[in-house]
Amino acid sequence: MLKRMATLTVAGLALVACGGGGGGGSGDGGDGGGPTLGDDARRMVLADIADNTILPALRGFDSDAAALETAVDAHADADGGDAAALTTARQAWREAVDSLERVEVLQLGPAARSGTNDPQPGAMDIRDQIYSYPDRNGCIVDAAAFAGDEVDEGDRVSAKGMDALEYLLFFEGENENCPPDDGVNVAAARADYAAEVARFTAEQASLLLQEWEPSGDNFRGTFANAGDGSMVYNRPQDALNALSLALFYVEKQTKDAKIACPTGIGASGLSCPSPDVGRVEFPVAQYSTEPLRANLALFRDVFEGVGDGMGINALLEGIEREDLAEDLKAAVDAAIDLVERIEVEGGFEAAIEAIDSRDACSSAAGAAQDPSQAPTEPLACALQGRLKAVTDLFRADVVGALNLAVPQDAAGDND
Amino acid sequence: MQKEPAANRFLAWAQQPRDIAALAIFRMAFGLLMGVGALRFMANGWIERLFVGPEFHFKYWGFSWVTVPPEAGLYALYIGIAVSAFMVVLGAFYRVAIIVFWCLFTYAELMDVITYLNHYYFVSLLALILCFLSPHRAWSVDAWRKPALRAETLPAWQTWWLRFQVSILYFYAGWAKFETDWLLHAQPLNIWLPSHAGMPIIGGLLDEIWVHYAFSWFAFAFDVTIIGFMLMRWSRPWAFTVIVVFHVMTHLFFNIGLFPFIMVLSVLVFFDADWPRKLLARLPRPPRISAPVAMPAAPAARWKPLTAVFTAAVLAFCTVQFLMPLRHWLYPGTVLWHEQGMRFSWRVMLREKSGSLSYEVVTADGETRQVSPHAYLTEGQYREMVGQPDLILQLAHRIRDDFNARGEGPVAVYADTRVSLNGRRARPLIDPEADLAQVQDGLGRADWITEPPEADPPLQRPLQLATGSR
Repeated sequence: MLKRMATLTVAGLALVACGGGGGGGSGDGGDGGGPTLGDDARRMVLADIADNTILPALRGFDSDAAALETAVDAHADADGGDAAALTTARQAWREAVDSLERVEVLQLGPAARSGTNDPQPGAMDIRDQIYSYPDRNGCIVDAAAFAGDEVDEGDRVSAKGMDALEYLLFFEGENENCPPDDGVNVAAARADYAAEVARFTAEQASLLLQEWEPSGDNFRGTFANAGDGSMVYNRPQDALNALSLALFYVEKQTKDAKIACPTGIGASGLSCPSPDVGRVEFPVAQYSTEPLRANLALFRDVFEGVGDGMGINALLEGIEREDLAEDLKAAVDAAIDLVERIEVEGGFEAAIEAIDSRDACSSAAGAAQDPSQAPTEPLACALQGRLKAVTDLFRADVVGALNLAVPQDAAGDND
Repeated sequence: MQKEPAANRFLAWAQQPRDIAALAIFRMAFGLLMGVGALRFMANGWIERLFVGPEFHFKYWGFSWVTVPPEAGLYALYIGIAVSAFMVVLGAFYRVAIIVFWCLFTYAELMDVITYLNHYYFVSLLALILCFLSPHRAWSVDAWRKPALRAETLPAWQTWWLRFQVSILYFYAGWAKFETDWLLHAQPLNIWLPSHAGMPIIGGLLDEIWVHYAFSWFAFAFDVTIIGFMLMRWSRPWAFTVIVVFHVMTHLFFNIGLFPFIMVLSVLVFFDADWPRKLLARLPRPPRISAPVAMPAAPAARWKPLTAVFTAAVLAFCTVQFLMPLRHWLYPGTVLWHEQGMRFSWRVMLREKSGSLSYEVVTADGETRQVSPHAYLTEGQYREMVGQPDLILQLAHRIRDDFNARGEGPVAVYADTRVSLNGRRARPLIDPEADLAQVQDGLGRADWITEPPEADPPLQRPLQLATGSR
């Protein structure tokens, strides 16, 4: 009896297997002009995102980080005393930040942190070597600078990276909140240490790029071939989930930390009770508008695709959820438009300073209701509302439709 | 000849001796699974993630006195669960061990609503039942150490009580699927299955809509009928095979931990009581315990006060278990939306809910503030609570209390929610005009929860990209 049952079970499974195709994707795969189906379609989108969005972002940052290293070297060669060299270094830093802020939204694979509640497959912690926001500490940076430290992987993340460089290049004079400098030449010490940090940052940017480059360690292939020989992602859905987790940066960091907290909207909790321009992402350089735009532009590119390439919206359209793709596009465009308006009107810092009362942002969420309407509340608050519209759509609708992961999905079982 | 009163016939039936072997094996398997489960819980770091990390914990209605101990206490709790479970396996000080297990396990489950799982509730119920059974009277340390305790049979009611509980789970898990989203729109399987399209063997089918319908209808039919097939001897082996295949598939498709193993284990109580001996007898050199047991005569059916009280208590327990899953009928609209009557009613893997939430707090001096759940919750808690109105209410009360404590009260708290149910477009779950600071949780109909969506869920077609879309 048992033997008969076992035989029938195996036969049944074999029958299912024969009917199943077994590949998780069929169709013409693009070769015969017909539609591409299932997992092949998912891999097509992953490949496009890798080639048209991720790799260009990494290459851009690698190039800008190298330029920054050169500029900061020149600044250090002048012992920090050449105003023109400092201006050049600061401009190089701004340009590198613009590139960095695209990479920031792509914390998956080698860039991602290991050992977190949301373990990202292939994580190598490289991002923290490059940028440690919101973990920053000028005194730690000064201490390392005054000691003439070198920089390596083992150093505290707040002592290195682009945020340390912001402090080293833009903070002038002695920092009264930190221990005394023991008589060192502050400008020269900071310039020398800046050169060291810039060198290390450029090195890490190159490392991250090489991890992804097809000619390097080819994480691009690992990502784009998920479920088809990838050693990291068993299914294309796993790679999409990794991307989804990374995109939550726009909610938790861009919306809540970089916008809501400085505006005093309080979306980050009771710790940001009133507007405070000192809570922007780069409070020393006062350079916050472009980074916000870069975060959003990268988010948009992942969804809409770049050039002829596809993005996540193609997956929505591929399951006939164009409604979601269109609404998300409109919401993201509205948010980016508002960032551009804020820039024209003096920048995000000025927009925060224009908030004249704790209650001024009370209807910020209203700005989310209709992206086509011009905001009536202070622009910085309206931007939080616009972004909330984007992240609400992503978290509630898109994640549901595509069965994407949200943070800490893996913490515990379900039923 | 005068016919025996029904009560006496019932008692005679309940006291029929049955081979103890099946329940002894059930005891061991249950304890082993629970012990391994507790070790797995600790090894996965879930104590830190689920209990130590979060600052705020959601309470069960009526159980707000259950608190989360500090980290060392949590480890002691779970080690206690594991140790007591392994003592159940061994049958060592069984009665104490199973009572301790039940108390500790149930306490652990009551610490935070976020961790509610149907199978944890099921384990708690099985453990409670096992507190009153005697599967340790054979094949146990207790039986070895106390010859007077040894028995080769147990009364039939012990098996039937377990069977009843298992039947209730399957029956209601099945009838919970008798609703339009599941049967007419194949949701949420239409959303969940395509992401497994790369799975070996059957993956290619999982993008197909007909497969989503087939799985939906099969799961409904399976849950509703499988106990019937397990109760009939001729169909039992086939039904068990189907159960194993079904739960292997759920294990492959969904992150449901021990659930499939517990369900396969639990249906063992439907086999004949002597199945372990028959299985052992097939060995080339059958052990002595494989010999059939001589059934003693059934004891006389005589009601004693204690018997009557215990029988009434068991029947009351069973009645509560039968009625509890039906309580959602007291609340208008689908339980999948308002969730009143969702827990403790075997609604397993029935809905895909995703959403966003923020609170708006109006202070006593008229200022309006926004508060994100992130200020209080981990991402995992946020993900779980955003679709559960009573938990949204609990956090609103905590926010109210915090503002009041800071001297900014009395405050009004409003919830800005957008929740998608089974792929529908997200919409408010909580009435945005409802001041949650004034709302009390309770068993009554919650008019602060919005009406369920009227639109059908979308049926998402299999993913296909036109090659020209590149």
